Amino acid sequence: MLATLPFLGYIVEGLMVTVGATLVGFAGALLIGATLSTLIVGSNTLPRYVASGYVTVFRALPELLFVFIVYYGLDIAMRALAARIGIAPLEISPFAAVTIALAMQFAAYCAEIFRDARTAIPGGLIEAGEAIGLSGTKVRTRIVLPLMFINATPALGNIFLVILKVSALASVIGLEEVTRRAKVVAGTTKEPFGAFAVAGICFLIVTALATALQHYIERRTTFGRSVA
Amino acid sequence: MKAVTRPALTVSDIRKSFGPIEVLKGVSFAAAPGEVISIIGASGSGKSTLLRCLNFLENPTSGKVALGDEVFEATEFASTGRRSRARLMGLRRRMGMVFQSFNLWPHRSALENVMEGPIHVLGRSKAEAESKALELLARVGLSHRAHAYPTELSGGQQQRVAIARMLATDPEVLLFDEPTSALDPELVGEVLAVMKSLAQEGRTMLVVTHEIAFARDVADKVIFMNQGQIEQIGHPDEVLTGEARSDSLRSFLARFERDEIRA
Repeated sequence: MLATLPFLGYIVEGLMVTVGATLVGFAGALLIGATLSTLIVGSNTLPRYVASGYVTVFRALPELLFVFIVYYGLDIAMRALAARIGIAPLEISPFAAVTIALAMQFAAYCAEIFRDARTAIPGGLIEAGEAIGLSGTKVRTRIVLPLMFINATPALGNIFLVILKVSALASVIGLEEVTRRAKVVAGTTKEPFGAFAVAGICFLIVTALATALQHYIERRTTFGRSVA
Repeated sequence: MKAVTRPALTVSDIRKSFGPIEVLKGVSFAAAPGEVISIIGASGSGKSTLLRCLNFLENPTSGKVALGDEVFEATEFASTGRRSRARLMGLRRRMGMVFQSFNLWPHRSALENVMEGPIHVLGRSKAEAESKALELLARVGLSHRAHAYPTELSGGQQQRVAIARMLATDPEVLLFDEPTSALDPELVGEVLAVMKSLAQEGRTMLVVTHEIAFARDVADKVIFMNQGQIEQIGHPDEVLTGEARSDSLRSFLARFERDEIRA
């Protein structure tokens, strides 16, 4: 265990990458997910089918597989493009690849969450807005969206934690995040338990902070309901 | 020479079908300014649908609604063009509605619920909207609950906030869709008292209700609906106790009389 101590800082530094990839991936997933859910409940047939197809495909693909597809796929595409226009190919960073993969994949789950959160809004609340003469846009921004986000908060909190943990998959394409660094340290010190324990504690701390934040948001949005 | 007052609201031949079922089979009537009309009838007689067709929450299949001189055709709102949207919003601004299930926005306090219309429909400043909202909450006896959220209020209090919210956009005609049906019996009185005071200050009101006493004591006119049509319309005495009542009206009213005896 003692041999791991000098590398403590090195492993914990990897947390920056882990949290960074999670935050960017989560933000992307929210954005794409909200867009998808709007299309799915929308009245245009083609976008509706495309969005539903997207959700079906990405809920089915294993995360690891999709990380590979994005990383190597982007690399191949970049080379082909570079060759065509005659410039040196840009290197695809593992960070970019993993955040794109996480955002695209978890957008499918977010779309489902937003759709359920939207459906859970009683129709009467929307009619009440229409009845006083609010415009369609105001009904959406003042009533539908706020209530949708309030309804979605618990489920989105879970998605955030899942993304945090799945981001460890990025180690397979060489992203220097917590688990990757722990593995490197384990190889050097021959103390795998120590190194992975440190990595585990890192995840625990981030999860605890995220959960505290989620509970804070939920408490702020009870609006007089008693919370069990 | 007596001036002829034009009706505040004129309803002409409103029809509404859901699929093959015709729920409203051509309903016409008019409400003079300041007139209170109670609409009674068994469930399924089309009275709530009629009310919802007047502010086009439900799009009538055909017919016309006129507010003062401005005529709104059922057919013009079938499309979603920008111009018809604007006209529809204008119509709804001029017609207030209170729902059976209150429908207060749960993420806003009582005060914020009432301020929503003045700010986002009438374009008033926040300060102006707040003082108006406080005034209206006082009007319905809820000044002390201004900062409470809907879930912290009793049903009767929620419905009174909903009435204040409706009044906040200065509507010319007030629509009440079974405003007391979802309330515990002991809370009905406070809501009816507010409605009665609105009637006394000369508001034009259409009230779909099961409160026969309200129809009898407050309304200027009672409409009895049966199977999507107005079967009887007239002065409360005439409709509720007169000799010319139809058989279906008699049997409808008999149920309430039995209830009153039992109570």
